[in-house]
Amino acid sequence: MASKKLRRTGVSTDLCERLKRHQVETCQDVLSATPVELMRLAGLSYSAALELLRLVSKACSPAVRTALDLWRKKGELCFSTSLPVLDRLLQGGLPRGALTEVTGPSGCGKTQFCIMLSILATLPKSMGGLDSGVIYIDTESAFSAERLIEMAQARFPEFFSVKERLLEMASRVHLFRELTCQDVLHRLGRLEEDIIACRVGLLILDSVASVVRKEFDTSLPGNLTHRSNLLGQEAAVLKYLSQEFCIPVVLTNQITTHVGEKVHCPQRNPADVSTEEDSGFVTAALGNTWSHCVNTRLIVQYEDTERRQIIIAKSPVAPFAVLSYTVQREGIRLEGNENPESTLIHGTDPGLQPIRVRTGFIYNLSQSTPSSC
Amino acid sequence: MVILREGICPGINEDFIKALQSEDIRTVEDFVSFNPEELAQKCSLSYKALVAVRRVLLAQCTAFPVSAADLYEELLSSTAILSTGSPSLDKLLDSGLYTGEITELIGSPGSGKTQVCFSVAVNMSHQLKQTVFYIDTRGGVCANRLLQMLQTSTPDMEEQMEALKKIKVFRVFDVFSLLACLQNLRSNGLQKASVGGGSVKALMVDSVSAVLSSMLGGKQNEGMSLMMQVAGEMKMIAKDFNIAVLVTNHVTKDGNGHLKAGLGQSWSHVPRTRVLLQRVENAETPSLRTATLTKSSRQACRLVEEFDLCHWSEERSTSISAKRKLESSKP
Amino acid sequence: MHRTVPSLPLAPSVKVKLINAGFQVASDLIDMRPLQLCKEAGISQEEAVEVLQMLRDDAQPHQQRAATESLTALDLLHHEQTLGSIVTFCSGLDNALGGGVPVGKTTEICGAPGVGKTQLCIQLAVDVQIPVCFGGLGGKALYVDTEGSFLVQRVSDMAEAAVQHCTLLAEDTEQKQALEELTVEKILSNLFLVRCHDYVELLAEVYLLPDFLSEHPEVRLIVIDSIAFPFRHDFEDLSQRTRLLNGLAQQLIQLATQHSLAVVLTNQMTTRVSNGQSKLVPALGESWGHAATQRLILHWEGLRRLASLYKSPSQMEATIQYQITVQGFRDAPDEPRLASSSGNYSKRPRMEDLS
Repeated sequence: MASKKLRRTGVSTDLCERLKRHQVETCQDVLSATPVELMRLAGLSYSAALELLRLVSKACSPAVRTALDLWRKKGELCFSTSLPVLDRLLQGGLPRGALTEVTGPSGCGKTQFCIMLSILATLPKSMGGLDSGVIYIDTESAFSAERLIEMAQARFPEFFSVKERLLEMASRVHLFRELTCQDVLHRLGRLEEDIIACRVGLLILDSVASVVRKEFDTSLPGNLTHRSNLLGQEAAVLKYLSQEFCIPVVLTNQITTHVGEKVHCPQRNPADVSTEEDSGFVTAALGNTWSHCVNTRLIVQYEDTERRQIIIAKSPVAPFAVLSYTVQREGIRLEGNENPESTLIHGTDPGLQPIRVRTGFIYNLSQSTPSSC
Repeated sequence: MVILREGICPGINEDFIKALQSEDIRTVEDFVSFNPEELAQKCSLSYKALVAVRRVLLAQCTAFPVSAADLYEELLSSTAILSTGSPSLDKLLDSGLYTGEITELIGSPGSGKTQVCFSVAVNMSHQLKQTVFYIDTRGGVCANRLLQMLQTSTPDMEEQMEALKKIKVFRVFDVFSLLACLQNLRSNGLQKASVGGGSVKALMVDSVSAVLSSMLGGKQNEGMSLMMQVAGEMKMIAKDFNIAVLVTNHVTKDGNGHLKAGLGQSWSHVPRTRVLLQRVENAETPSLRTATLTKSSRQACRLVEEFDLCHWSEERSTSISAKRKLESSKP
Repeated sequence: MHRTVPSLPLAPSVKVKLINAGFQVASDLIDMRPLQLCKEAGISQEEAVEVLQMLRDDAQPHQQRAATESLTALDLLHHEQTLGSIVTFCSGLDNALGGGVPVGKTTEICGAPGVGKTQLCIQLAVDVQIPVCFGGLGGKALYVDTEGSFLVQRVSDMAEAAVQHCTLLAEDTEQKQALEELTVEKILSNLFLVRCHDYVELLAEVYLLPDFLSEHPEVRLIVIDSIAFPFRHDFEDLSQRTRLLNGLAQQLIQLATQHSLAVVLTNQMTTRVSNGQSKLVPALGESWGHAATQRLILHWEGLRRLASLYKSPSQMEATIQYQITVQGFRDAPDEPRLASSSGNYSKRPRMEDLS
């Protein structure tokens, strides 16, 4: 929209020529100038410059709708995660047209969650899916096709008992491996065609943090702003894609240590005082600016060696909540969340929410333990 | 700078003007800069006529030198010093706002510039019974607040209404409207106000940076020119009508991280006096502010005074301000 | 009129030619005819006509009136009393703001992520529609969303809560009648939504607002959520960003004043490192701080959400606590109201005894 050429906006050719001499050719160029600048560039009086701005604005402004129009399409507003308690708290599921972030320590289940969502997206609408393709951008080489198949068969055994369905599901998940920040940005820039061609209904980026943190050392001056700019650009492209195609976008993030006072660690039972007070104040990575960019933030953390917790830390519709889950063959399984009051907690700034990391292992070499990825 | 027209002086008629225009002489300035002999030859006009016209025009349009003594006399008789109502601020400004000058208030957002403007306006309209013109460019004028301030100084409703009537508010939001407003004031607004039975002694512009900061930089060379025109208008208003002009501006940080006035170097020469307002960190009362004199032709700079926005007419305990003066003053 | 030629809003090239031709004051030009002016100044015929038309006060009636007519503060007082304000349903915040978000001014809401800026904006967009007989403004709202945080489920929750609240209050027949028309659907239909993806679309939308407002004169609230996001990552030339933001701010305050509506902008927080300490400050730079008439900063203190009124032309600084519930933006339960803090939001405000 912004790069629309002036010729096509109804501005007179004479004026277009005059502006072209000053390298003002697109709507963006015109609107990035103040009226007084335009008076000089186009040789217009003040009121004529305002008129020009109005004309150009008409050509590239977005349409106005009412909230009622959105409300009528309520059924298409969310993507169910097939975890009933989570869906209920999020009022339907992950929002379509917005960015959802899953962040937490490594090994907690973020990639498992993403793989599970990929399967769900390919399911037919009657089963709660989106009946669409999935684009999975993998920067850590963590995606495993075998795990995808295994999870699908374990989660929906009757549906995927037919081998063709498994193959069809797998063929709908399009995997892209990108290893540098620039590659990621380029890929995002070209995604529109892929989304239309593969009829994509879910976009996953796993993970945002790994490439960024490899390339930007924030202790060096200037890198912090540079990194924030890059993240801002990524967020803007992702929001645009999610909004235009009305698809949910899921991103994963990592953790970082925060230097400062510890605020509060969400407990299931407020009377429980964590004995690991000094185990380190760990929180979501990528800083305060990125916390603004994502619309929903889900934090996964360890409760003990087997059980994990998923915290709704930032959401426009859901309150702060903590849910317990484990990672099984069929992916994520919520457990122990029967009491609705105990799920609600007090939270704090989603950029500073402390996350519990795993501090110990239980070795039990005599038994086989379930895979802890 | 007067354009040559028929009738501004005997001896100038249409043919005369046409002949001059063919030599590209259109204004009086052009005319008198030329040697009449050359002109007589080029334009085939009579030398005598040219010299006569030249003499008359020079008499009409020249500025005459004035002695400093006369200027001083004039200044003494016409300048007034208007108290701001706050003893601390008056101390800083050498007893108040001087007419004929531009005083500038700078500060970060929330430092109290608009509140100070309100307090000064209320003081002038109520205590000094003068009419005040207030040009608001940011929508910050709040008549309720003005009323509140009046209510603390007098419980009489009549007086409050009278004082409110003396404050005249203009709301303009861009530079051309501001220029139109100032020029209109200069040409007939101020005289009308004086005729109406009050005298105008103060003009406030809050804030001048809101309209001018989007003019500077980039590909707009006109921005600087427009800014200087605004400055010129305000100076002329101040001088010709003996008015004290108070403007507000924002702050930026310079290379060393020190605060300086916005709008750049050229603007910084425009006001005669400049006061920096700052919040007091960790103060017991949140309405405490410090005012630092950063430019003045009458007092030593870096004087600091503390005052309370809520208790405008009270003097702050001098122990604090004295202590500040003894310490090395803040830059 | 004694307008000087250099101050006229004409194209620079035309102005230069007029000045070179010796015209210094508008009165020099006013009696000229187009062809004469054309010849003397060397400008084209259309330009000459434009110049003369402008001098005759044909264009921009609004601005001309504003520049020459003044209101006395007394008139302004009467006018302000008719304007009203938009309640937030959080009585602490309403009191701190002097009744609610004021109409005719721009209010900026800065806050850390997740603290409730979008919630407050949606609450205001619902509250502006409360009918006049219940003390509201009975107007419509325009919501400009640049971040994608607007979720319509939330609006319907808040709208339902607002309708219930009014139902409890309804006493006389006028109120009961108004209540019949106040349904969740009606509230949703009076909330206009625009989604802007970058700063160009945002600027375009603001330039078109005067047209939109003349088509929809009942609009009493414009929310831009957020103004920071599109401006924070696309700009290498920060001075250009400052210019555009200042221009935007002036346009918005002009709209707020001329059309008697409230403009609410949300801003993000950014980390600033000074003296080895990092502090959260509002984004978009120092000069943006001057743009809005009022500034509200929402911040976390441990588990509590606090709102501090940091800058206002008419209200004292104050800090209050609030919470977000299913019904929307509300008072925090049973917490003593904090005394005014110094507004320094990087420190904990001191709890003072309430007298």
